[in-house]
Amino acid sequence: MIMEKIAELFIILILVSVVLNVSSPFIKFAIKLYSFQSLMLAFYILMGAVHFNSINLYGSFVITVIFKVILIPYFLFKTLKKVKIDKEIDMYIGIPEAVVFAGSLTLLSNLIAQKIINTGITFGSFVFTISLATFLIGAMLMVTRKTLFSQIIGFLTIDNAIFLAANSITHGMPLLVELGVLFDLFVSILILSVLILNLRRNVAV
Amino acid sequence: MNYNIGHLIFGIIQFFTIILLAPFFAGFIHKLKQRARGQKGINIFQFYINFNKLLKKEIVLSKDATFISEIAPYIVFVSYLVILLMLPAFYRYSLLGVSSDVILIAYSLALATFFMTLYAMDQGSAFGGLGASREWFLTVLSEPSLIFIFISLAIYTKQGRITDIFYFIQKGAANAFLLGVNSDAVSIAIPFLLFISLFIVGISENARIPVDNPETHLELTMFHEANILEASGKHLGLFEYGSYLKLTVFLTVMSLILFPYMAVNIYQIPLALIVYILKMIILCILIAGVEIVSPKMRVFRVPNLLSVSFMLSLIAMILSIRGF
Amino acid sequence: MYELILILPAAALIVSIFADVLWMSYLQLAVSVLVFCAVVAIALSFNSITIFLGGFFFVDYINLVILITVSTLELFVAFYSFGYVRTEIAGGISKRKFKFYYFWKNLFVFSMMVSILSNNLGIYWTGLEATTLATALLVSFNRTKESFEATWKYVIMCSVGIAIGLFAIVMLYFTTSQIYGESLKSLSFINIMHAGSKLDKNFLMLAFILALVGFGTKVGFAPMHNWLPDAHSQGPSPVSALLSGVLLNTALLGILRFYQINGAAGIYYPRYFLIGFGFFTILVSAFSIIKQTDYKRLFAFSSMENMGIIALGFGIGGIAVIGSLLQIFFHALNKGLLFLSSGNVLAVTHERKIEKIRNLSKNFPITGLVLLFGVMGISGMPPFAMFLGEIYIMTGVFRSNIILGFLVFILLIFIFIGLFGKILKMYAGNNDNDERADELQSENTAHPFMIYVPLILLLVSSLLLFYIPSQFLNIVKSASYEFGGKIIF
Repeated sequence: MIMEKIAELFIILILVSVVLNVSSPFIKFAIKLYSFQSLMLAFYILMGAVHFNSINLYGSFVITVIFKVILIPYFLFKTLKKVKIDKEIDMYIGIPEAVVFAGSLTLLSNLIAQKIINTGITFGSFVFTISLATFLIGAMLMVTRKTLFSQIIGFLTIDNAIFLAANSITHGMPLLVELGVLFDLFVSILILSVLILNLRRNVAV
Repeated sequence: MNYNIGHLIFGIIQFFTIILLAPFFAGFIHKLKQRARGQKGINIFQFYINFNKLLKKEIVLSKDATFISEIAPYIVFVSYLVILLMLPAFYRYSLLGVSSDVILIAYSLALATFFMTLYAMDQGSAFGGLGASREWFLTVLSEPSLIFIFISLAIYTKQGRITDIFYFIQKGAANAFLLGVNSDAVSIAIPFLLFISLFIVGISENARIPVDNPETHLELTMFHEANILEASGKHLGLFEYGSYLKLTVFLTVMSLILFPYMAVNIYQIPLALIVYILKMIILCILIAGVEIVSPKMRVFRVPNLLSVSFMLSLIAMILSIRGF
Repeated sequence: MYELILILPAAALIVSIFADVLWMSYLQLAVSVLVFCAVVAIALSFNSITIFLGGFFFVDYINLVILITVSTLELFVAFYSFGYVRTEIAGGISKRKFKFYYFWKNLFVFSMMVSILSNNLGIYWTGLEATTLATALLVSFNRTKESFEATWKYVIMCSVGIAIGLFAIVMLYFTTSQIYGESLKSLSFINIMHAGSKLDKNFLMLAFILALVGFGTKVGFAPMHNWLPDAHSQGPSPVSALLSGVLLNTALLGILRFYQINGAAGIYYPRYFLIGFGFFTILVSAFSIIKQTDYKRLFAFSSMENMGIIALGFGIGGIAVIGSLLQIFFHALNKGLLFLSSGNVLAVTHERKIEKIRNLSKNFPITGLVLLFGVMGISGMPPFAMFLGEIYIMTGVFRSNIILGFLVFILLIFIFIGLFGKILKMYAGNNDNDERADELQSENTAHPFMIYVPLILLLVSSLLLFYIPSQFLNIVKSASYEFGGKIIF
């Protein structure tokens, strides 16, 4: 009971970090927020692990922390240091509009989530709404911003949303699959970093 | 709610305690900021002395001023007093608890702002108009989130009066976390969202640093200060005291969202009062910390911040409509 | 025998890190021939679903069709690469770069094999994402600004798409875990098919739509196709052939798996989504083909169109499914020959624009002819095998809805005109304004393997119209039963 309530707090913090991400043009801040967001996701998984006493979820917690909280942000920071950009300038819509749009996306995802998920299935009450909203806002970040880093952040946000959904309606995917998924994610971030460096050498990012 | 004499007495005690404490909180934040910057700092009770001094001074009004200038300071001051009459800071039955509708509170704040800006423009000074338009720029942006915060509180608890709202949360939390009764109506997440949202709104409405810096009398950075630039004597004193009251209102609501503990009978009052002051001091330290850490924002980046607050309160409302 | 298909590419992958490039190209030939032989042996002796490697991998009729397609095209591409590497090294590209070429190509083939053969949907996902990552550095092989941008688009779009696919798998896992409990068992495809109608229908429907959008991004369905022409045209030609010919089918397999599960659960309306996406893809690619100016992009759009036709066939059901399964195989061969022969032109002239290339009949007698006939084949003209697939699909479409049939038919004619007109100009058009030294641009500078592999592919593709091995037909027929159980007209 209390675990579930605390888990809800972590979910909300995920959404708050996504909204802050939309509202801020600074890339370094965005990477820090991503790390924070993954940490909250990991804590959510930990709460589930304690609540259900599931070894699978403990394992999931550990690999989430290793990959998402430490390794991926570390490599993104390393790339950012080489590229030397700090601010997103090219945006298709302004920040306040984007934030309000993100709010309407949350409303939409609430409507959808209510249609498909009965209450009581998920661990934590409104996880599915938040996960769907995070997904849509991540997609919005990718579409409305032109800098390559923002697209990576958007992609990672989408990935976090899927992890959240996976850990809320089920007790986590099987550990083998989850490890494969995270490893693929990590390698794709490495490849995207290499691409950013190469593109930077050729043209302005 | 049956009114008895005890409610009346303790309501009056609560009301006067908050009013008397208000300049102390403002002074405390000021002192903290100054100490953090390495200055010696003012006396914590300096704002009481200032107010006393201003009351004794003569009022000077512009020759273009109309009757608005005569009444505006009183209306501003009284509307804050009315809100404080409703708020259950540490005793559950506040004096105006019966009519403490959340919408009324939100719009009493707007009324005060309205008359303050009227006063500013009535004086006929150039800075008055400038300050008024800037003040409304902020208020218009923060008003939706303020309304949403109050409405989502009301929806979340299914109560209309602010006293009932916080009593409901308090009871629910006590049931859930102390007695272990399973209750879906309790959530940590929604009050937390509301707290963040209200914190941002509070910072912008009370002219705190990332948004406004009232300590500099520089016309380029003036928001709040430009409105009362022409005020003097008793009027200035009322405006200043009004701003302390406004800060106290926001801090009190925040403290209630953060940790609602209100006395329901006489014996709990001492503990409740101590908890209340403790919460307020923690919030003061939080605000002072934010003010020290963050630099002043450019005016056109303020909407970014306020839109985040709006968004968070909107999310809180969406989630509370689902009935969790 | 079954394990060999996975072990051989993995072994080649490891050896390619240490081996010299020219030596590696011989090894690659051996590996590809062995894999092909293994697949042929499997296909000849195949009569029921077989599980191997601890239940994580299996072969059934549907993935056997795709397996045959992959191994056949891979064989030809290995021979072509043998010549391609030598030609490019003679042209001044460092050997070190080609070492990476073989490494990534083997990783690509290995991960493709993993995802085709996987019984577990989670492993399928991992393999499919790994193909994206393995091909990323192959697409940017030329290290130009355009190729890096194309790679960026490719990796980002496909990763997001496949992430949506993961969402679909999560949904499916949620429904199946209510039956099999939370373990690897509930992601196993065979188990899911057994559970069949006991699954929650709402979630299956949602999972199918998410899978269609997610994996459909990688297949190149119309609204999500932006990355496809760039990525397919920027890579080295053998890689383009593999990308267009077989990788799209691998991604399509994911959608087909979800489609099968829906069918097993008794949900039949996902077919309308397949028909809709297929038709829209044909529409978009038809209009894009007409205004293309780059011949490799032209062929990339043509693969998009063919994936649309295949999806349409699966959606229509009945006889069209047989057509679609045949089309998967024939399209891979035909598209392979187009990319390989256009790779010859590109390797010699270093020119991508259609209008810059004229008079192929004089300088590239064999390649030009192969290109011309290949385009005829890809648009479904009779002496080539794709005629067979397309006629089955069109019959199915006409039988189910005559208006849709006419629309698709008109679009196919558009596509034929667009493709054939442009290639004909390249083949026979006169080069009036540009009088460069023609002798330097002859196809003789290319390695003989590069010239003759597409020719053999063309011959094979033509031969298959008249003689299809009966075992292959049996496999296709059995595979079509998996979809055609309910033929609704």
